[in-house]
Amino acid sequence: MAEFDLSTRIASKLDRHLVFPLLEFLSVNKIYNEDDILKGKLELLKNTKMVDFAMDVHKKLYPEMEVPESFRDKRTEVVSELKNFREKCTPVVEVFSSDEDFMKLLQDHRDGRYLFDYLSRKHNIQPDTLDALYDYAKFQYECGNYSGAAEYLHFFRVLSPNANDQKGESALWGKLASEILMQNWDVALEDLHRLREVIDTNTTLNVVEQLQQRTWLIHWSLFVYFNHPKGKDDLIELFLYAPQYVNAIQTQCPYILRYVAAAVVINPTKIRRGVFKDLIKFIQQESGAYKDPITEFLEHIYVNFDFDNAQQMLRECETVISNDIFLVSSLDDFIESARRLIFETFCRIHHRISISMLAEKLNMTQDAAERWIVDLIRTALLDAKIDLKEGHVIMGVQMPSVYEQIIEKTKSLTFKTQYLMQNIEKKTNMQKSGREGNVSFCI
Amino acid sequence: MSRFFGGSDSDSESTSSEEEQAPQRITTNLFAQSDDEDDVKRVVKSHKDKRLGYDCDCLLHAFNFELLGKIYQKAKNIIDKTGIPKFYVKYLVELEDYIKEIWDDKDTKKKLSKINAKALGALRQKMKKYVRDFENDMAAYRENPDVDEDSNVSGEEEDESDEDMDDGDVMDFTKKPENTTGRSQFLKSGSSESESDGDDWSASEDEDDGSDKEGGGGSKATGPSIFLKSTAGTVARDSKRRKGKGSKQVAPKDDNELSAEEAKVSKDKSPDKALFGKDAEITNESVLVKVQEIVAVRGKKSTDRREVINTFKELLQITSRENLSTALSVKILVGLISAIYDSAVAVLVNSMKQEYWKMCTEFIVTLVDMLLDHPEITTGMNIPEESENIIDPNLPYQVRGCVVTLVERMDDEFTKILQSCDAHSLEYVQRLKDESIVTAIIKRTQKLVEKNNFPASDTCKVYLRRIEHMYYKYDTLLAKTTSKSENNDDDEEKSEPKEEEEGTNNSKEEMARLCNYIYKRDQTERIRTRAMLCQTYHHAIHDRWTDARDLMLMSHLQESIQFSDIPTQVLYNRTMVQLGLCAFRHGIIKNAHNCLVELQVTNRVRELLAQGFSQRQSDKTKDQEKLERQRQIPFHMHINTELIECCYLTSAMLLEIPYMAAHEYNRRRLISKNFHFQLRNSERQTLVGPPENMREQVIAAAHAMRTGDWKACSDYILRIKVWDLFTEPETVKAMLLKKIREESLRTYLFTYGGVYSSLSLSSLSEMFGMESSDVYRTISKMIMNDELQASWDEPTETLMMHKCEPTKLQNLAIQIADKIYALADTNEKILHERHGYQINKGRVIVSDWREQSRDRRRVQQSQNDENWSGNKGNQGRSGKGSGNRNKRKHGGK
Repeated sequence: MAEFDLSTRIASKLDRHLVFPLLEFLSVNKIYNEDDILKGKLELLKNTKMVDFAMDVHKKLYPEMEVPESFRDKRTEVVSELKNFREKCTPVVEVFSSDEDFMKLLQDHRDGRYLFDYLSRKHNIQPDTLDALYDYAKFQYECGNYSGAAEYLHFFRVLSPNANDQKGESALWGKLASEILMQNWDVALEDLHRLREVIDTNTTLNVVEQLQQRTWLIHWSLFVYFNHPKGKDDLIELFLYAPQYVNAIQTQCPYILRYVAAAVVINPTKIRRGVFKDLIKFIQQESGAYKDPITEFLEHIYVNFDFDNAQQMLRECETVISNDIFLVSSLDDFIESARRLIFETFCRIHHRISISMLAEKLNMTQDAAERWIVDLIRTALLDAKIDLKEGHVIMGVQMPSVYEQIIEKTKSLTFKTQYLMQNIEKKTNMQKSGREGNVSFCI
Repeated sequence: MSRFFGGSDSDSESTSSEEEQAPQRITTNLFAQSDDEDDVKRVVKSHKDKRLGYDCDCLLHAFNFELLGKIYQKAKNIIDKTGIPKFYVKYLVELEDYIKEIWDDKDTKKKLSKINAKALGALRQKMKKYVRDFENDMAAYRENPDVDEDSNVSGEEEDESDEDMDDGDVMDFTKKPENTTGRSQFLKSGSSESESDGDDWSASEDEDDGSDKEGGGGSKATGPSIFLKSTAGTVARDSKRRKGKGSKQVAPKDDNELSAEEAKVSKDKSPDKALFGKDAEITNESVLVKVQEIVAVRGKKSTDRREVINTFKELLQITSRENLSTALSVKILVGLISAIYDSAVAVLVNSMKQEYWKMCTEFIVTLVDMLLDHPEITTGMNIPEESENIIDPNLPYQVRGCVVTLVERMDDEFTKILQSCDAHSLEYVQRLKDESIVTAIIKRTQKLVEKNNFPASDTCKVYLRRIEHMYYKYDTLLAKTTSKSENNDDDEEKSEPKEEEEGTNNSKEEMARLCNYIYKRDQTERIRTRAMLCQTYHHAIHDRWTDARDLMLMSHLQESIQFSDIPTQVLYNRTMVQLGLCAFRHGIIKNAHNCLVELQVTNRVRELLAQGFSQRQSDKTKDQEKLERQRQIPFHMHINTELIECCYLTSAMLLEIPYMAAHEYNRRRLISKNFHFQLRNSERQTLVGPPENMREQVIAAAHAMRTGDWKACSDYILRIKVWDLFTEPETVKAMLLKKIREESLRTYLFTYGGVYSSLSLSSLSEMFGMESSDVYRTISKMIMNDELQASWDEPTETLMMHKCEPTKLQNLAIQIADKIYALADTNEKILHERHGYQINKGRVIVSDWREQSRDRRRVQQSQNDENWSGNKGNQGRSGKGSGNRNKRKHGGK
């Protein structure tokens, strides 16, 4: 299954800390060698400050070996650093925890400068303390204390006078990462939107940098979109209809198509009509660059009308999805939706279908298939009748007849004419009153 | 060619070589500053030459004469002081005699063409009048013509040199470089040469009509008139001339030249004497001084370029013999190569002569090698002359001069050489062999540039040259020319691995490497654009469709290409064509059509691809034509235009025929105007014969497809020969067959679907020779897209047709409903426009306005519809009936 595993490709565009969930997931799934994953983890941890975690992993990886001295050294180093930072930032942190007036202000006022003025007046806080706060937050993040990091970064952003400069942006990225790691999906979604706005409006970046940032945003957002209940709508909107992001996907990471495709299939509220058409166009365009069972499944249904192969692909999709950290939670939804897709399409182009064949195609028993169809008919999703004697489903066909067409076309004519009449009447009335010299009426 | 006058006894070669040289002189003229005195003298002499050569052409004489008169007037002041130049008188005398002779000779006169005869008469009249002023001088001359010869510094010598000059432009004067009198004489004659063609030019420009008519005169017109034509006329004529003469005369002349040169060189084998004193010590310094001397006179009118070249050569020999500094050799080489360029300055199609070209490439190779071997020598245009260090071994050597420019120039010259050859002659093939030399040089330069860390702009330039020599070659071809082993994964492209210094290399990777460098480092938009286009082109010919397409789309050139220079636009067009062909090979018909349509619609494909000129005589000025000729792409890089058109028409057919069948009554738009034009043309014919050319074959195929007859259709299409030009014609044909079957099936269903209530899958698959799954897929797609009102009956595997074709009445009803709707819309619109809504304010107005604009759009659309129906009426008007019906319809509305 490793051929359809995107972890490595995705990981290259994620923050170090965001890779841990991926690795965690992989080790559960056992696609790769457990030891390899642990080694990878260790490698990752070496550049962070999560020394304890690193020591754990090391122990797990080499049970017979002592934890090397360097880890301990690093640990003491980190601890002293932490102390250092904490001292620097105590004044601000204390304010946050003690001053209730300030918290109230924080909720009322959105202007960072005003808030900062207040702070410096009342608590004598200097601008460089703010920078220290930023550094402290980063340090916290590196140590794995995401909630602390998120909190401080939030304050930093609120207080920082020019929130959209380089540092403000980094703070935003950091905040998003922390929220994702804490699984605060609501807040993360909010941050995501804010970040997107920042990237799109930032004029200091050149095109390549913007592209890069968008690519990162796309990857990070996967966490949020697939875990937030409303995420899929946003995902479709962003990945399929925002040209800059479509562009980023095409040039940087065509494999994201899998998620777009999956999101479209799963999403029960079809936010747009023709979304499938757009998706198929996208998939076909990129078919040279990326292909996996999910996109092929859609191609089979909508391009080739090859339902047997689609069925085959659906089975493969199952394995792919169950090995994908983002999609695994919606596996059942996907299968159900996909099955319905096949059936819907099948019905659209058929007049009469035998139930036995349908059952086979849908991977069900005949009785279950019948029940399934009856349900569909009852809930008015399907305009059809079952001919039990022959074992057939007969679709209700309604073709727009020529009469209807003409009626449709001429229906509005009456209304239009009336409207026209009214207007003319109004006009004549006005002229009349105008003649009477009622100037004020005209004003 | 016989000569009437004995001023010179040179052989016939002189004429041909003169015309060869003429253009070169034009440029020297460009550089030389003319002063009046020279003017007159030059003119006189050149006309003598001319006339001697081309005696039968009275017309030419006529306007030469007139021109001469003008110039004479111009120079009147000086002539008043110095007296009438003797040769002018001589010319007049000779001309008079000549006219008289022809006039008296009734036979010749009869033979003259009408135009010529007329011109002769006019000339005679004018001459009579003009000569009156010179009667005395001429009489004197007639009495004693020899005096004249004597007075003309050294007449005999001049004549001699005249002949020689035909052989080698300037070289004969090197015989007496130290001789001051000879020098001055050279000055005169040499510069007179240069000016003479100035006249030709002005003449040709003034007398546009004249030269055109001459073209009609046909074979009689030779010599200078031909020259005129070849520069002012079309390439076709030019090539005709070359065919006729080139083979006979060019070759011996070349030999002659070469031998002459050899003789020259051998004569100068004892160079030290000439350059340095016999006992003078030859050191770096002394040589350098000499070099600087020569460089200093460069570009001056009086410089004898041939001599400069030779001196440089000698110096080079000396330096190598005396083991002088390498930097000095570099300096000399740079000077030498520029000198070669100078002496071979060429405009238009006229290119460097072969001997120069050989010399040039050799020296460039030496130069590049030398620089490769001695990385301590820096070169560059940015090194100021003061800081140039050539001698001092303690400091880093610095030489002013740019290798890259020299190489670029060489490449340009090569293109010119190819442009000037007839593409179908052996000569072209011979010249084309040099391509490998050029590529090799560029490759070496590239190495040099990479090794010595040249500035990025230079590197980009060299890379671009390399790319431009690479992009149009198919991989196997490239493998042959560069004898590089291809380590391609594509199995069919594998050729025997040959070891090369650079090891295995793949053109795609090489291309990508060079291009990426340019994308990153290039500062000028032009190089980047060209590199991008070349890479796209390269992808396209190697069937990497997605790569090519993505690159093209990402470049966003479609929007900006019209702002770039014309050669780049030409390249863009070429790339688009290749992209189209690539899409076609991949069976992506729609994209293929879109790529090609823009070009094909113009009917000027040749011109847009710079592969020739449009047939229609356009109202271009001479300058524009000249420029256009300069832009021509060498023949070996051409894309077959018939293939382009064939692909275009075939894809148009595949798109258009089903579309026409589907929208029989409400056709909204034409996919391809060109195709429709052809289709209509063939429909108009009363008697349709079997198709003869490619175009007719496609049209015949289209007709067959309209009735769903895929067999006939594919027969016609596959019989077309140009498919063989693809590298894999079989796959293309298989693709075409598949597409034709599919589209025929669609057309069939659209056209005859209404007649059936059900169709069985198996019979359909049998009818169209397709797999039943393919039929199923095709039809399913049609149902899905609401193109076909039908559905499958799964248990019996039949297609149920739901929609019966609307009757004529129904169709008309739909149309009338549409029109009534449009009428109501128009009424509304009129009301809105006449009396806006002054009473209502604010939001209401806004909403009204919105509605209005929407309405307007709808009206436009419906108007379009009307147009279409009108057109259709016209098209189908084979008899009176339909036309009447059409009218009635409009009346009813």
